[in-house]
Amino acid sequence: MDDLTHPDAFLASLRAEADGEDAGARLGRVVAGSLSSGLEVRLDHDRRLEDLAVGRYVVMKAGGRLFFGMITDIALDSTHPAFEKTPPDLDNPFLRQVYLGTSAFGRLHVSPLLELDEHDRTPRPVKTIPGHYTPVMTASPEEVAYVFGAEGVQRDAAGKTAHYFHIGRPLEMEDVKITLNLERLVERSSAVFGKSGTGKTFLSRLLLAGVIQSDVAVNLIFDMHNEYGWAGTSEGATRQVKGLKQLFPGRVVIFTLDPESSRRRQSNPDEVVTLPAERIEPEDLEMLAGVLDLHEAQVGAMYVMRRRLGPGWLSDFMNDDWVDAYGSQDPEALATGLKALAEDLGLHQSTLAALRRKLDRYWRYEFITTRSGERDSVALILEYLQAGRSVVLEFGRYGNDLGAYLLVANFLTRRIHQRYVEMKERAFGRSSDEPKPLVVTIEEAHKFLDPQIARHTIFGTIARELRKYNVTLLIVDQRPSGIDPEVMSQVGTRITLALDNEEDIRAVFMGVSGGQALREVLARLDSKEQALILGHAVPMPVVVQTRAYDTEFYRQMGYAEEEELEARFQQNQALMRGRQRHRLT
Amino acid sequence: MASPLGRVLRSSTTIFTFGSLDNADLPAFGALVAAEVGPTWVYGLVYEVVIQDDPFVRQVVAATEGLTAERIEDMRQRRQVPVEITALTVAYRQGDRVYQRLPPRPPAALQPIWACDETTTAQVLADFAFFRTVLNAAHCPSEELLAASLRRAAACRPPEQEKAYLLEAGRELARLLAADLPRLDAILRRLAP
Repeated sequence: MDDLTHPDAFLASLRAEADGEDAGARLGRVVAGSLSSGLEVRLDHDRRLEDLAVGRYVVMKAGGRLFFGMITDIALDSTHPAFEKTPPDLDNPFLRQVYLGTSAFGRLHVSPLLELDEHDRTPRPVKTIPGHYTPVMTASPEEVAYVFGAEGVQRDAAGKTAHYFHIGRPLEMEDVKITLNLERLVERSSAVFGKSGTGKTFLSRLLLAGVIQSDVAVNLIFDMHNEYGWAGTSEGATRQVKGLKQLFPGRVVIFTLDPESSRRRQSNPDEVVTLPAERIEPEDLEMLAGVLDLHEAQVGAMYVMRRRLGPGWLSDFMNDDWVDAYGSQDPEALATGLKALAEDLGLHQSTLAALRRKLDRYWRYEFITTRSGERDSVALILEYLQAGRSVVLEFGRYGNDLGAYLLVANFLTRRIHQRYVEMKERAFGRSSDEPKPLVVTIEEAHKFLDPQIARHTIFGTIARELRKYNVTLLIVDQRPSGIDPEVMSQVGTRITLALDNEEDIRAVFMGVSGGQALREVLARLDSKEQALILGHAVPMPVVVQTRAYDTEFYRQMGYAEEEELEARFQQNQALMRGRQRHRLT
Repeated sequence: MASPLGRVLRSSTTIFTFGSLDNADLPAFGALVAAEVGPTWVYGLVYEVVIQDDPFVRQVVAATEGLTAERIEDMRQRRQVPVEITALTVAYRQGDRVYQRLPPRPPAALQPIWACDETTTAQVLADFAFFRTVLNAAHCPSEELLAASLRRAAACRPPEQEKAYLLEAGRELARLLAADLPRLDAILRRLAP
């Protein structure tokens, strides 16, 4: 791998200007195109369309530069329309050989992505295109590896230290590792998209493992379906895969909303999360308006109650005894109970009654506690995060309850973000005092980032303010079209597995220059283990065959199997005993 | 080049016609022939062979009796007028270089005309610039001529290069005649081995 990416060997290939030498890899020549719409490449007559695929890289060497492009469309063309209407006699082998590839030929559409200068070898976005009839070659593994950079800690284009995480390999290139720049991945919000069953969770877990191992950020993971913490399910041969806690026992803590479920799954949670009722603010409930079907008047009523009744508003309001007794102390009151409360607050009684009815289901969640003196989960999570430990919050049985998921995720994130803002402002630019960068992973993200509510929820705010306060999102979702376009435009890195829906595909490319050209590539991903990565963390869009989440991966993440540990233990023991005996004799 | 095929009867910039008395050794359609013009050699492709009648032939044809095989052979060998052979000028050589374009001057009258051997044919027709000259010639059966000359040129090459040469020629034609498919198809069919 290293000698493949050796700059001198690479440069030598860059200087070998085209034509004869690389005839074996030559696909055709650039015949038309523009920077904005991409290049048209006429296929050489000895090249078969069947051997090509969208998503593959090509290189074009011209004028001391190496241009990288991706095949984004493949078409049939002919020199004359009559070839379509009246095909020539192809039974004659000679005619067949002459016509195919010459009169009737293949055409590629290539999107130019990057250029490398002979002197300055930094890959940069293309600002021009190769000239007419520049030969187009399949990119060699060396060239692709050079652009993406080797795995591990390297210097990036700007000279900063960067962790490059191996995410997979390009299509049809066995030995090339595609790497993501993790610093850049967490610098802005990122997203993993894909229809259900394509492996979003698997890929997110892979990314998170990379982030945790390299320690570029701490994570707060809202684990809706209990897939990240202790163990996850796999559709492969092994039914269970190791979760983050198993891979990084010292760097991951598991919080749970549902201790019973966690115990059943032997997930060994470290802490149980509770939401003290007196801390729940109307803002926390407001974003549930859609799920709860709350009307504007009912949302308004919550704010009025918070203002008039103080922090205990929710406990009081949901307490039947308190409501029934309301106003009974006042001898002059004309009414008691809900009616009196409504009159006092200047609200309709029916509004309050409906609100109580709608909130009732939530009120019965076990994690909402009215007891005082409970440990403050927010402070606890924050403590762990600042100690550099990532937090996985398992939802247990609440994972199937969207309302609970939204409530808890919003409740916690709002407060943690708040603290981050305070810490960051207090640090006042001294980087040593700044809070550790935090990545908040949310599944079913379109529920938080729906255009209707994205403005009100903390997640919309985080996505929009970028890395200002060291908090970014990892959005995991299957309906990118349901996400507020304004939020989408701020997503730095998009990792997209197979998507079917046209709107979703369009949404993925929102705010990406030249994105439309990649649509065909995305629409034709395999339904498993293939992803299109574009954006901030990669120098150019890339289709990867994602790496396996297996024992080899565990080992690279520093995990040792029990037998291995046992063996190591035996070895150490033997060593020590041997020495002792040696010393004794 | 033992003896010439004949001598020039008339010529122009684009064609030259020569007479031959030797009926038995007429050049084939599409064959490459050459004439020396000062410091250059002019090359042409044979496209027309005309055997004209004369009074004797007419008499013999009219007299139905006594037409033996010997008589016929004698009439053919000792003709009163020569067989007229016309070639389309396609190239010339100056020194070692072959130029596939019209020569500065056509061959003069009575200049001897020579048949070209395989090496010369392969060399002179190695390039495909002469296609346009042939295709644009209005006075000759250009499709037939081009196909015949290319097949002959292919046969003058080593056997392993024969097919590649024809394919390459075919592709060049496909490029030139992209807008005239019936014509292209006609030539390729005649070219097919």
